Amino acid sequence: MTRRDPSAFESSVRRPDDFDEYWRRTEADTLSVPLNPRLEPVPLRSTPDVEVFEARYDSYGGLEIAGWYCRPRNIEGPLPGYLFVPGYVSEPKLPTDLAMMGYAAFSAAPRNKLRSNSVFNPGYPGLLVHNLDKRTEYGYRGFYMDAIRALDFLCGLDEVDSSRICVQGGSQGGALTLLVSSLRAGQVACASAGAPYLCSMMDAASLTRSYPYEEINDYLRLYPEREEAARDTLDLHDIHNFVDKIECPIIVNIGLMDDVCPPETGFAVFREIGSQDKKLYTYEDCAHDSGSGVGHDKVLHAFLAEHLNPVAL
Amino acid sequence: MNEYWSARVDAAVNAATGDVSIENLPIRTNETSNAYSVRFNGVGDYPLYAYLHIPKSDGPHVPLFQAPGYGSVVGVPLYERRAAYVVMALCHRGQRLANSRYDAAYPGLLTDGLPGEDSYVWGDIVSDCITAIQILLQQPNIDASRLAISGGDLAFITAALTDGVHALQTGGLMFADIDNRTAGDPDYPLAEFNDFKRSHPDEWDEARATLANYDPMALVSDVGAKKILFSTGAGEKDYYDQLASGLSGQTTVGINLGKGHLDHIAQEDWLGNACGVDKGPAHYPRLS
Repeated sequence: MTRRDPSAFESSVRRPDDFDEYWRRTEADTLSVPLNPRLEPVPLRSTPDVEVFEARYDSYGGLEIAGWYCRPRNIEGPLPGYLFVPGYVSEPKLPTDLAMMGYAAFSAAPRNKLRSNSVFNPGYPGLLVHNLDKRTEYGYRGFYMDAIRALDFLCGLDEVDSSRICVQGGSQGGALTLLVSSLRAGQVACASAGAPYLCSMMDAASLTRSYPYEEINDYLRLYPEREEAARDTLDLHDIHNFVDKIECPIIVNIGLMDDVCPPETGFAVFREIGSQDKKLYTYEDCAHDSGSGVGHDKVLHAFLAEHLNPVAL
Repeated sequence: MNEYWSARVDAAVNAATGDVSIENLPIRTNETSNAYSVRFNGVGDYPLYAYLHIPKSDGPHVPLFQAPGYGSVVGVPLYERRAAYVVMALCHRGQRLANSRYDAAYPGLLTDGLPGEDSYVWGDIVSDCITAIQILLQQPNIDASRLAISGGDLAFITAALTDGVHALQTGGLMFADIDNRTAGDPDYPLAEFNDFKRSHPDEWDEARATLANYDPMALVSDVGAKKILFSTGAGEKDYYDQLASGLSGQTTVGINLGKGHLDHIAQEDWLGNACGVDKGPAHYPRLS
């Protein structure tokens, strides 16, 4: 087989005419729900170096969303803030390691994650195609807003220096990083997106047979008549359509043999990122690990530290 | 097999004689395999769920038990596995689709029920796996002499507690070398042990005795698989070499390169070769 060139791939994502208005309205609806932030200490997970809290806030549609918040003890603020956004199936990490690095770290559990799924729970597989043929009721509409409100939560904490906030995540977390950096462009100081998911979604489903994108293939095999409606819904929620608004320094890393989030879609979304200070790291023979096994974590944390100046414990 | 496990294995095998519901799962059925939802009760009449995929090609097929990992979600097996094996992916108690009576917490599951031997939830979780394997072996058109098991701790432990395993593909064992690996500042889930120690210092000795039942070194002599692959990072090679020395089967300790694509190919090729199975079609780049 001829070796393909994923960097040459052109996305088929279209930008719906009502894209900006849809998201302006969605954000307005979200902000009409008071954030109502709460923190509850978790002594079991706290250490002599790090305080751990269970976080709760209210988001789009009035749903209660959970998270973890960790901060270093015995460091006088203000602290740089670190928003960690989770992957598709994994539970949000408890970011004690990030607090040890000197960050006030918030790890969000958007709807459908454990502790945030009492009302909305399409499951996994399930979330990617939840209400796929109903453009304004698509599951990711509220999910995206949960990530946005997580940033608002973090920025609102007294000990956090709101001029030094980063967003970071891989896979779905990579997608949410790009989303938050776009919709909160003035608030994010720097960002790192790994193996970004939810980019060129219909294209991705045609490129791979791995889940989660295989959910789209499964869905369309069962409901072929819904393809056009599905494409319209996905275009309205595709991260590809957000990222021209990103202004902050940002790095993106992809694996050139990633079956979960095909690199073609990573190249395509990277080209669209609006920031002039952007860098793409590509890793040969890596899959969805996207370089984490060959040292990318060092690159990531050096980049964030350069921009945020944390004081490690 | 020690007393701790023998009673649990008997109960788990007995649970497999109960009612089993197998329903078509059209949304996960594709051009290469049929998909089914399997519902049955584990020990204590606990309702469990598993995905079952059967290749559309002629059998008999190798039965592959995909042991659950440490997380709330059990994924649908890989495309290439669904095409080539009769593969079962179990959701153990507490995981999504098997959480009607118990929700596992992350972090939390690894220490749930410690310190007591009887209260530690992993005893029942291992039992769920053993019951599921028995149900997998009840399926038609399989070659039970080539039973394969893949996964982490639950794969290793159930392989030690199940007769007739042909191939075991495992690695990344959480219960391995706990004392040394929790001595520093480990990430979760291992950090759960340190949380427990810090919050229940008087109970750690009893907890440690319970956890000894899950120590791979204590179980390794019971692993009768004919072919074994340990996949590990270079830093843990010595541990897995030592573990391998306790096995009677043909054992490979494979060092991961840290490049997911190559490591995945190496593991799937090993499994296919060990079981005499032609590799299924690649999931990426997609051919169809």
